[in-house]
Amino acid sequence: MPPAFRELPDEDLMLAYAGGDAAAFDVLYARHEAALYRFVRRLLGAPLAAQADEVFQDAWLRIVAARASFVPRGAAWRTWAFTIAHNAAMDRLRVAGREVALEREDEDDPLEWLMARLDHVAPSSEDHAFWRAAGAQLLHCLEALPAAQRAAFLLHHEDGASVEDLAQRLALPFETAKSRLRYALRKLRGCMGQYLEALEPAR
Amino acid sequence: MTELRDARLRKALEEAPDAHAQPPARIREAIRAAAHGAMQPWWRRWWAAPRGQPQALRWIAFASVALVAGGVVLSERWASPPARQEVAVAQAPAPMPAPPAQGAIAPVPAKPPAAPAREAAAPPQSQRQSQ
Repeated sequence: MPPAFRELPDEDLMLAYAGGDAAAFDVLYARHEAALYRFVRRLLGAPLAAQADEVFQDAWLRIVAARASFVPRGAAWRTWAFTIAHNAAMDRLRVAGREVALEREDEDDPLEWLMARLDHVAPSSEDHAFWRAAGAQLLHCLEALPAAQRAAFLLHHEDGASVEDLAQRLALPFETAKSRLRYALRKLRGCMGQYLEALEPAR
Repeated sequence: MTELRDARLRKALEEAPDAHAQPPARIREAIRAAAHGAMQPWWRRWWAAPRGQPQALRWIAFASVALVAGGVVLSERWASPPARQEVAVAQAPAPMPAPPAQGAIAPVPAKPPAAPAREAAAPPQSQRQSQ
């Protein structure tokens, strides 16, 4: 692997790969393997966890196939790749029948049904153990969200997408993207209740 | 923390039990092989060893193609010369008959055509009966 590649931004690596330099791909893959894998696993959820490897591979193969169409001016590589991974996972969820295409985003109290489905675990006093338990609970809470809301939350919190960015990537009106995110957060905060109450809001 | 971004949830995501999950090595290798393979010309991609496919299979496929191609070439080559000879013979001018040599025995003239049959000369039987 040429050392110079390690210094290059993702976009330049992708262009180098599209131009025929396979070593550039290796650097790009190593940089984003873990984040994309985690994103796919979390978006698919536990019921489809067994298919996470296949969807992850499919996402990367889509990236390889679309290498010539990548335009660095349009979006950051990471944004582009996460959108491809999102589409691959949503396709699989659609096939599996888990996606709720038109979830009720105007429901008055989305927490009621969510709370009824989830068990809460008491937070631990130890910091690391506490956050690990909180993380486990959050994954559990994510399972209960509709796939579209789960995707909005993960893209916003894990990939760091802004609401404008989110709307553009999901081909949604800005207000729809914002309300999807708001409902996801509302449900998750309710579901995480005891963990979040034990904390000062982190800044 | 903002209305739509909650740092506590982000921290919980970072610390979740699956935070350090990695894809299996075979998936990593398959992705890498596909990415590298996409950079190569088609014939090299075809020849490159896919995981789990025995080398012998590709040799057999290659040998079969070579055998068929060789057979076609050879059959063309063997079939062509007689065909060309036939064409040459058909197009060549017919040889002139050689002049008879002096002192040679004259050829026996062909047998004259046979005399008309007796029935043709004799009148029909009905005519004879009427007479």
